[in-house]
Amino acid sequence: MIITDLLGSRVFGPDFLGFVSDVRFILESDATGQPARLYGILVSPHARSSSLGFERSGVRSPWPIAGLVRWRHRSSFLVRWNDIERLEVDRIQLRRGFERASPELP
Amino acid sequence: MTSNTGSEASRWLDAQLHLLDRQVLDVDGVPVAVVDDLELSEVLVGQEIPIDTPPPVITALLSGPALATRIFGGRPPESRMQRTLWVDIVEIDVVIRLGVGRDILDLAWTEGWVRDRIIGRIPGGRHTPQGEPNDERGRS
Amino acid sequence: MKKVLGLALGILTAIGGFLDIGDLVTNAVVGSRFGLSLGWAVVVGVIGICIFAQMSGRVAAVSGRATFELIRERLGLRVGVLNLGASFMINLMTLTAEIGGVALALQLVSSVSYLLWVPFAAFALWLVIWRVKFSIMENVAGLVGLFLIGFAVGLFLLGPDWGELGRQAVHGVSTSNEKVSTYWFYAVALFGAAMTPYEVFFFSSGAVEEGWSVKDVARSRANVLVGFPLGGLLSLAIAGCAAVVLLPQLISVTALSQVMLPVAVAGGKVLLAFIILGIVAATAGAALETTLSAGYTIAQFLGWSWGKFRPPAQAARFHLLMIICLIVGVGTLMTGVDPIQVTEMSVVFSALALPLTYLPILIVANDPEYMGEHVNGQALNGIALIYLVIILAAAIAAIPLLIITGAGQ
Repeated sequence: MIITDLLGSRVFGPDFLGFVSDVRFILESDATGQPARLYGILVSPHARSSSLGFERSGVRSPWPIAGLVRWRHRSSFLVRWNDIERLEVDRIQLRRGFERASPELP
Repeated sequence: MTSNTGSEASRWLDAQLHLLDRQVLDVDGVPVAVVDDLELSEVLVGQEIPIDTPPPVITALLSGPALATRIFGGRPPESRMQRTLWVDIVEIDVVIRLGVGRDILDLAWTEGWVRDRIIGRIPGGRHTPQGEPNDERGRS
Repeated sequence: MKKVLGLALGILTAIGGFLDIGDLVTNAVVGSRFGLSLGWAVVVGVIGICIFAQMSGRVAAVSGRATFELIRERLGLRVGVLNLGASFMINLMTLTAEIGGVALALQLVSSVSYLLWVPFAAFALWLVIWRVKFSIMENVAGLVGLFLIGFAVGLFLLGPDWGELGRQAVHGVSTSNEKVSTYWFYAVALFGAAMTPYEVFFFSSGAVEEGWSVKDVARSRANVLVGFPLGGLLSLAIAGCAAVVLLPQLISVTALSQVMLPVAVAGGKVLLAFIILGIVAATAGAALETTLSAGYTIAQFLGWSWGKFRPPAQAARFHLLMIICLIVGVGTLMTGVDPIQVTEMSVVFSALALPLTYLPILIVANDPEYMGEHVNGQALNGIALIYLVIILAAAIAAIPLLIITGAGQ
């Protein structure tokens, strides 16, 4: 599977929730050669893609642009890998009772 | 540059923010490609994923003729994309640095071809502009 | 002396940016029709490019990333491709015009026909790109280009009524029968000429070529604050000369020789020779700047190895691309197209492409991941945002004004 298969896919709980605006990976440590595991997907209810990332990074400058991007990605949330039930072409089904986590980068 | 380490231990990478469209440099700091896509390990598609299935990992960076497909949709066949193994990566910062040289990578074949067939044949092509020893700067 | 040479990048960028063949003529045209009443547009443009280049130079020094590399990374592929298309077209048009400009200037000093100079000029430019060290190129082209100071000297020698010039700058020209739309067309054109995107591509890539690092942030600022205002002053001097000599007689400017008429009147053959050297260097500098920019933008976007600091064999596609661009330029010129008209067009298109280039730099200059502690301060952000609005306004107004005024007729 390649990442562009996932990006922009529609995400469904029971209902339509949004699009995969990005995919988050975690490296166990900063050492070389660490595998990057898929941690979760970022779901944005209104937009298909997020490349500036103001809604996640906490950077607030320049304010009009950061504000605009944050507004466009309002109510975005992170869904962890465990909460993904099924992956299909352009469609991701989440498990019942999935958890919405904050999209902010720790 | 600050890297986004949450704790001493872990580091977070978002595909679009930190990996896609990033420049890849070889061990000498020479640019070799831009990341067009990421290859993930095997994942069940079309069926219910059992709980506790381990998440996929990134196995390779992909580069290739993907401009049109990334804009309009679809994807080029695997054979046309060049893979850079994840394990060859040494550092991920504002650029992605590899630990291997460009000569062993498939990525660099057009560059190599133009060098050997055209540029290398014009007099002076293999020398740095006069006055300075070859300065291999570490960044692109 | 070393300190002065250290400023050569900024000076060359400015000269190649707003004292190239099209701008030389445009400034004279504006002076001959509007006096100094459009001087404010040059000032607004110079402040704008100072802000833009300052941010972009600092980003290049601190993060090692040249401007076009960032456009794809931060704005994503779609917007990046759009920007690439527009920027590359502008670069190609401008470099074609500049080769023509070098040939025109050489025609003035010899009696050899312009068309014969074109391939020669292109070949000479290629040789410089192929073999001459970046710093030597910028020092020679930048400093000889400063001979254009002859226009300022000429302006003094003409002994103009400074009060009258000042009045024109503030109140406009009373005897003018130009339309308002034409006035604003030239305002956008002058602004676009000062803030052409390729200046920033060249400046930031030049910063990487020179190997600037965090300790060069102050040097980057000095380059910007010396180079661009100097370029602006020279622009105003050219317009001033035309205002003093050509405007009262209602002589209109259509050719390079008329641009130099006031100087000939003021200082005779010696000053004229000085100026012509300056024009050759400035147009050559602009040609080098735009050709390299064409290479930089495509190579950086597609992730190719680039840079004059590498042997051509290590940046093969980068060099091949520039060779092709030069050949296309020569081919286009041999069809007889007027290089001056080509730059006047491309300046307007630059105003269009500007917002897409400015935005990623503004964003990255604020991003601690790239800049660490060197992010923009509040004050700089404030002015930078005001300029974002101005740039958007100019971009929106550019094409309608172009159509309404028939390119300034």
